[in-house]
Amino acid sequence: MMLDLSTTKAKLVFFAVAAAIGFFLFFPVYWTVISALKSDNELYQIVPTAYPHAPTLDHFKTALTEGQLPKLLGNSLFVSLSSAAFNATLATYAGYSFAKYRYFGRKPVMMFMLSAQMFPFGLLLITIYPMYVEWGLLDTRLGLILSYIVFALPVATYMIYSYFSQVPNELIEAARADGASDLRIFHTIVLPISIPPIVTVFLYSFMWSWNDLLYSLTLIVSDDKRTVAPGLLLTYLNETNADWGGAMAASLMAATPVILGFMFLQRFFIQGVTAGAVK
Amino acid sequence: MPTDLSQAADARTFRPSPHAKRGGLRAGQGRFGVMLLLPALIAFSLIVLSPFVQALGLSLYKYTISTPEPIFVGLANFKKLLADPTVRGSFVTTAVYVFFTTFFSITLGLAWAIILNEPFKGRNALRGISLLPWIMPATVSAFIFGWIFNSRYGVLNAVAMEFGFIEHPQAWLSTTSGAMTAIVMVKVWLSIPLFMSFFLAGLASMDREQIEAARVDGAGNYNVLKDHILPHLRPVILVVVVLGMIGNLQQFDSIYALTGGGPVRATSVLSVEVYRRAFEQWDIGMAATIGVLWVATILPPAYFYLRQLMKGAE
Amino acid sequence: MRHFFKKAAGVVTAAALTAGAASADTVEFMNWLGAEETGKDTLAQMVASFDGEVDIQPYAWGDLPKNLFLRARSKTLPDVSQIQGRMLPTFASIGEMVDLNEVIGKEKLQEIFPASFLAMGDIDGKQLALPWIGGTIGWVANMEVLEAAGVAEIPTTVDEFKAALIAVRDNVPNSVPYALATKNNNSILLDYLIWSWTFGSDVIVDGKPMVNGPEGKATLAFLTELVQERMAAPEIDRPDSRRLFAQGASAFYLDAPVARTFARKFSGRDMEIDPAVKPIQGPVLNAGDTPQSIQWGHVIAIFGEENATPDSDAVKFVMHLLSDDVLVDYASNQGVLPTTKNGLASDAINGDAYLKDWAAASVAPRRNTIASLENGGEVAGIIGEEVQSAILGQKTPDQAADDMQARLEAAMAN
Repeated sequence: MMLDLSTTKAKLVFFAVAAAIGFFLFFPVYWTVISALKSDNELYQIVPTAYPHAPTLDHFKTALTEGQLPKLLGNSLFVSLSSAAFNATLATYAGYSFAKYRYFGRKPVMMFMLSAQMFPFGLLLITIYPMYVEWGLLDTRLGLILSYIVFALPVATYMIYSYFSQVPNELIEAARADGASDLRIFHTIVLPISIPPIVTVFLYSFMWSWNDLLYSLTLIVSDDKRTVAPGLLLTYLNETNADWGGAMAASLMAATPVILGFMFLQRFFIQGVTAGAVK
Repeated sequence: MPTDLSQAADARTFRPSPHAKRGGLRAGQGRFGVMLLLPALIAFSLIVLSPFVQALGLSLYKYTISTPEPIFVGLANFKKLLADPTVRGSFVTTAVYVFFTTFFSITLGLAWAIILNEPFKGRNALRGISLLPWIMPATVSAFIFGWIFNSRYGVLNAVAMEFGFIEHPQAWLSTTSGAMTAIVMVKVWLSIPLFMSFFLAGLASMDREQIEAARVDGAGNYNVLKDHILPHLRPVILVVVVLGMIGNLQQFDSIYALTGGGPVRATSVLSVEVYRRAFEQWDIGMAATIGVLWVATILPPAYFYLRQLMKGAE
Repeated sequence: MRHFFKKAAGVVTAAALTAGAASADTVEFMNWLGAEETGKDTLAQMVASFDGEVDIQPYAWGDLPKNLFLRARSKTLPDVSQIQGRMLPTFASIGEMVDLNEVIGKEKLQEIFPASFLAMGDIDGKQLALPWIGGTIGWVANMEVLEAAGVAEIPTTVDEFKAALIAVRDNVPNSVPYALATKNNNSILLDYLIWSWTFGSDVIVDGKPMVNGPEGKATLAFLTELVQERMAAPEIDRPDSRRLFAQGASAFYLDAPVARTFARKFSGRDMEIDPAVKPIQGPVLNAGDTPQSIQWGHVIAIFGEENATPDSDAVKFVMHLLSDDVLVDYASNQGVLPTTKNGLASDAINGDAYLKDWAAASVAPRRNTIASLENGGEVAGIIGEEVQSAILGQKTPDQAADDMQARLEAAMAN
């Protein structure tokens, strides 16, 4: 739409770049899919086959029946959705506050939040752990959900902040002149036009908790509360077992519901980022 | 593309007019502002701030597995660390890693967004599956790349030998540059979807008439890109750089899973180094010291950059 | 012991739990056995036959040390934990382990266990853990691969060993004749130790690093030659060695007796592969030298003073795990040696030719020199990195040996 592809040269360059990036992006996906469809015998050949010569759904079947995939997936969705909702809510209020109010310590607090985001997460784990034991949060889903504040809250707040600082003051001041309270203005006037950026930070937070291994592996101990990332690692790729086909099949299946959700939310996501980042 | 237009129109609804007054509301509302901030601030203080401060403090202690309680040693950890050339190496490795991952994620993310912004059949589906790298568990992705680069079962060797580029299978991950290339590739692969989404968003709000006008004036693709698209995306790029740097600096899982920091120390970025000091060598004081040095190094440039960003936003 | 999971159940209830009420009945047992597909059921059976409550807390093998460490730091250690023998000195320095000489009595323990296994749990005269399963890290040969390469006899000297490797390299396509660990510092350490001993050296002599003498340099030069001449390959960790060996791509590697279990699993041939998997004595520099192997085993430690009585549930549970039937079942199931005299004498173990061969091949297992060091993790890291830099050609073997020496001296000065 923005490019002029009427000349042959432009077309060539366009397709060459598209093919190169597409290959880089999708070859590993392709390899995952065909590996999941290969039998173990075919998988461990010294010279790998380019496509499954005798495709089988065995890995998918085993993952569903013997593995704990449904449970892992349920746990992951619960934890990731909750933490995303929690982060998005906190970030929305905080970002609005940073953008539209002036008070002592506003900028330093915000700077500090973002700086803490750069401290090694692995190190924070060492001090969070005893604290969680003390508070009874270890091996609880609530504890894991809260721990993702570490990963996502500061950046989420910053993203929301940059959106709200673009919302014109006139909008709010007009409502004030009508006598509405600040809280009411925020909820009834500002929030409804801010769904896209909120969805954006929701997805951003969601992906952090969805992908996390470091915290989920340590803060959750019981099998029945495990999430997908550590669950797959422990089930398929541990010291005594390296079941590649199973791991690939399971991660594809785990990704499917999230992909569908994303495709559904993508239009919000895309608008959200626009609204936030563009002045 | 009607759907695109309507999306763009939606997005534009919230765009301020050029004359809109931005920035803060009237003074005197500060207290309410603090109230709004409070929930996030409390959560942040409990879960991040207090462990953060504690961890900073640990850098002044000898705190290993054999010290039941930390022993105060002042700056001894820093002295020991600064005398250790291997740790200096980790700073360089991290800088290389963060630079290349951020650079390539942004460049490729932008290119892919521009491509997916052109109208063609199946575009929406392609956008959807372009998100896959982001959604597959990152550790599994690292293993997939490990599998591709594998010196025995890897497809890379098979193809290279088939075409006669190499005679014997090569252990790509056992060379300094090969291992670095691999961990950068994995991270770039993982990051493209996020950056692509940001850039697609930026592109959706572009003023098409402006581009058409430029075309009429004879601007080619290159000029449109340089004079219109990139300037328009500048704010997006500024934000994405921050996200990218933070994410790449913190990246741990995929590196640890793929190379474990090796060969030798070729991929021992700071996050891996901290983890190894803490959980393989049981030296928490030292791990914390590396963390403090890391923050001290990154903070001044980050501070100025963020300040610029905030100034720009208000 | 303060109860970890009950404590985790909630702040409110935590206040109501007194230490005594909580720890009287349930034994918390931290282990990696239950985290493994093959061990889950075995462990459940062992626990089911125990007359008492056991809370099984499984962690992945690689993750257990980290969690044990974090739980020590947050003062929520379990009552009982499975520990790798070589990690025991590290975890003993936590200082919470029960001295079983005092609880059970030294003589009684000596009646139950042979001295060599008992030594695995001995730290400075205190019996801080009991041996569970044992054996050595020693050499295994794949007889099918040797046959395919036309090697008729098991090599006994380093020169013969090298000749056999060359034969395998030249006759078995795509092979890694010796699956030397070249990735993961902890794996490299074991191969390096064996070779360092074989060349008549040691890493630590009289408490001082000793890696750049002529023997130390010869060790590194030898390993480098193996990799450069494609008798070994880069990018191999122990799990890779096991797969290569099982798939008939490697003739030799170093492992614990579980080697056979892995060979069965990764070959997909189950017990059919058994005749090919042969424990052998390691090659020696000069005929008549002692073949080298490293002590290996899993131990069980008990934490907390309240468990330091013979009739505590924790002690009873540990003794249950070590009782004849339970132990022999477990050991023969995993293809490893039980650690009690009765267990070793049992038919199930005695009748297993493989395990007998294994015991016969490890004539004089030595203790892992690094394991007894408090900063063993750091030392293993330095050794692994310098070995890698030599075999990958980043430094000359001599340079790597000198650098290793300098770094070890610096690390051990603290």
